[in-house]
Amino acid sequence: MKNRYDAIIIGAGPAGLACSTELADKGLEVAVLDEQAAPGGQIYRNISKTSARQRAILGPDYTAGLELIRAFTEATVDYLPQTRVWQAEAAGEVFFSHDNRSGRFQAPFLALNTGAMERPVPFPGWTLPGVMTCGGMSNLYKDSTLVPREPVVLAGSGPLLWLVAEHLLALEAPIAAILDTTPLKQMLTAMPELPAALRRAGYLFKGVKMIAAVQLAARKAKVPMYRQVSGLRAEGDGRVERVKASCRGRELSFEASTLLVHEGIIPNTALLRQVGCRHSWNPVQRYWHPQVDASGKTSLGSVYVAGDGTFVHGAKAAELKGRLTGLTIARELRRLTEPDYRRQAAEVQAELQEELLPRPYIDALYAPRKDLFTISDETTVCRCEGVTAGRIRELVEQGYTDHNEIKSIIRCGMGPCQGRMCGSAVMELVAEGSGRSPEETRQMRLRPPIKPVSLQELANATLGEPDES
Amino acid sequence: MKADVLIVGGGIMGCATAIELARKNKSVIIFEKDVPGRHASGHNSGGVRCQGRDVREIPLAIEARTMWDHHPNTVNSDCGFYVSPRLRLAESDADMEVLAKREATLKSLGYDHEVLVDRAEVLRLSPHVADHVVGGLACYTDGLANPLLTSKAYAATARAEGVTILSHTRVVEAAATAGGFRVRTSCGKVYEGETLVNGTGAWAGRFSAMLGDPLPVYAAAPTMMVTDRVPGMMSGTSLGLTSRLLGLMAASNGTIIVGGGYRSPLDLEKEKIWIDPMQMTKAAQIMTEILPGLGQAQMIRCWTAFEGCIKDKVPVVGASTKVPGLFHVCGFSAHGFQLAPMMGRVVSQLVLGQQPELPLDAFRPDRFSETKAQA
Amino acid sequence: MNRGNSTFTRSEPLSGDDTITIFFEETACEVPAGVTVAAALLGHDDHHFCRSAADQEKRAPHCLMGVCFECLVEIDGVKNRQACLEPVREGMQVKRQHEPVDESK
Repeated sequence: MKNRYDAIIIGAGPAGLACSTELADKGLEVAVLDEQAAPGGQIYRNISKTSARQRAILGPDYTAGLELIRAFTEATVDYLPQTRVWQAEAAGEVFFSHDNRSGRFQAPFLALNTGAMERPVPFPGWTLPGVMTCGGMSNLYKDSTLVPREPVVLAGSGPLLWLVAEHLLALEAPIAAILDTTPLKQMLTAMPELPAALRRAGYLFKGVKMIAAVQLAARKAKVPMYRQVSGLRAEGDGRVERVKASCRGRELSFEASTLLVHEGIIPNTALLRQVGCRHSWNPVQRYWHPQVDASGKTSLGSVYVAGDGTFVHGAKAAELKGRLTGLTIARELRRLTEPDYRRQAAEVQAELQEELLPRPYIDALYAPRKDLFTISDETTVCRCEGVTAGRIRELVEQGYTDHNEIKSIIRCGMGPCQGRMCGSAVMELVAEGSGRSPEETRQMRLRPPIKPVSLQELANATLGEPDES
Repeated sequence: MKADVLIVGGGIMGCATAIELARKNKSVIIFEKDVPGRHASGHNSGGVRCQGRDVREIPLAIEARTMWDHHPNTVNSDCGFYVSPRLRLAESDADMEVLAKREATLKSLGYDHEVLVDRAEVLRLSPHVADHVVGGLACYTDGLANPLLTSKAYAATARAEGVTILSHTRVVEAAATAGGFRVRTSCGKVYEGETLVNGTGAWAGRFSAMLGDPLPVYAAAPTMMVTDRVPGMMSGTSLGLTSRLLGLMAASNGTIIVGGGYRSPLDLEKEKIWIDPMQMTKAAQIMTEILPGLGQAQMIRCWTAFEGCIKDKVPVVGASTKVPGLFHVCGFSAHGFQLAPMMGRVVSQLVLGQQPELPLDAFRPDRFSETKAQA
Repeated sequence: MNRGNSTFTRSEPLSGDDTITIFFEETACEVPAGVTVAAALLGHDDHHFCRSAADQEKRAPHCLMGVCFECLVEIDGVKNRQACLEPVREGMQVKRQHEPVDESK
């Protein structure tokens, strides 16, 4: 198998697709490695196979991906679906498992377009079968047209909550309630960011219109909606049976077999931390993200990150960022003259600037609310290892403020997800208990393999010296 | 600021020494460039083993082993210690001969902690080992501990005994003076003390050179790995091999900690280690040969730490012959963890000018110049 | 043929040509071709996929995008497969992943 390339692209979401297509267009040899069985990432999941009805329900923001996929399919790239990357090195090496073997690719440039994930927020009962993320529900529908046929509760804050509600209403799924956890006062704190956002009013109004339409449809369908909801919990014996919450002093309880949660989106930085590029703290959205320049170049020079793996800006921005990264790598590899690069990059930059105008407002409006991580002591934080918030607090009280150390002592973050699900919460529990901002504490460190690899896959490895062909 | 003893390095050796000295009413300051337990002390594989040690270390290791049982009293924590017999497997008759020789050597020196066992006993201890294993050498009293918990317990005990631990404080200058030593830190402060203890682990070569008593300690990055839970696979017995690299430790939670001499490339200056995936594949190949049922187990993560190593693989423990008042306790070559409690005792005895309770001649800091002279 | 008892339903009918048969806990299940194992099982019987290795709690897919590792199943004798990333194949044998424990507990 060929194993030396001009660039290796990790992830086949909008950023990865745009980036690899751009590079292939310039005649460069590109490998694209992705976990899923088909290109599209989460946003355009299963896009080549969805039915006309699915596409109608999912709308133009989804079908926008068709053109991207078409261009990618026509491009000459070595595409490896169902491939788990478990280590990347700045020297230009990528280690992965594919088809029950481990392998190694080399290239002078890497673009790690790892995308985003929903912010995991522990609450009582969140480990019960039947508690899923809104994004998870969306994936399920895209994959297989599945919708809940028994009562479902949607709870959380952010555009995705309403988008999924819109789809479920259109599909006549039995929604028991929609619980919006956004505090009212965030409308005010977000205000200063509004003027910039209004410079791209069309985008903003589209969102406002969507939410208004969902609320109207929900009222028509007699779906109860509650604002300023807190104290969410799921109950049941072996799976979700009831969802409880409080709303301005009132206790709510709903019979439901599915609870869909959403508390915003954060970059999926596992591979980026492992490769060792420098990260910064986003104090509004409260997440760590890799430091990148306009082209997506990280502190490591040979490693780029495009798309939501840097800042969560959405699919269109991810595509544009992917193109910029592609153009930049093509210039570095001398497949693009400086004037051509400047001209082409400027076009993409302008479009990207326009796309990003509303983001500060949206980020402030849907910032993680103050009490989001007020987790009761009995609540499981580390799902893999069954570590509770109380146990973590004990350690913080003893003076531990480093998730790496907390992990070594109580195994919080030592399971197969390797801290992806508990990382945000542990960081906030440390902040709560020590009074230190996450910025002042040591970041969680990820060591390879960043995804579990079976010993068989490792033993079957073909990591030998790359061929020179 | 002044103290009787200045200790450089807040690892387990420095803290163990500090505890013993503080209990003898000496004032002690520890300088730690990161936090106690950040490097090898807190991130080794956790093996507490007498098995397979260089015979020169055995008396100290045997004494240290009893100290591991008393940690709840001495450092207010069990350090996560539990007994996991350590079984060194023979994969061939030639291996078996090597192990028999080792047992005979130990017997002639009066030690009986390592016992030659046949395949039946191997299977009793570790029922899932491969068919080709013919026997082994067992050390029934070996065990495992949590290194981070241990080094934190030592640091906390040192503090409780009145030791000052200065974290995030690097020693940038150290020099002998008329009355002892003067040390300047990265925080710009100057400290004085009568004696100085070098417990700087991977940085010992550099630190000893700063004082004009260079030691051939070099940095290495042992690479450890851990699997997901595979309960029952190890049956509580930790495994090693006779003629191949591998150490498999049976963690109490059912995971397997893999150690045994895998190394990754490093840059000590930048404090960066690149985990070499080839080490993982090599380990996985041998693991699935020794425990054929392990194929579906998963490697969850690797970790490494900077370790101070010496070519002859035994540590440097003793008074400097060049700089009076300077004591070295370093160069443990990736097997110092088990010895630490005992090191605290003997080094404190050296510092106090007493005869150490066990001979330390084999670990003399000047042994390297002798070998050179002989050569 | 077991059509299961799921809390989810397909919102679009499937023509007969588009289904394949997989085996879940040794029972044949007719599932749509081309979907992930997670979608297939959730459309069939979403009771639980695995038990957590640490405390043997019942778990089922949470993120459905490869992050949470709560959908681990045994596929064709190989453990630790993420059901949300694996497409179904004709004749595939899928089993819940857990240590041998008493199911009645």
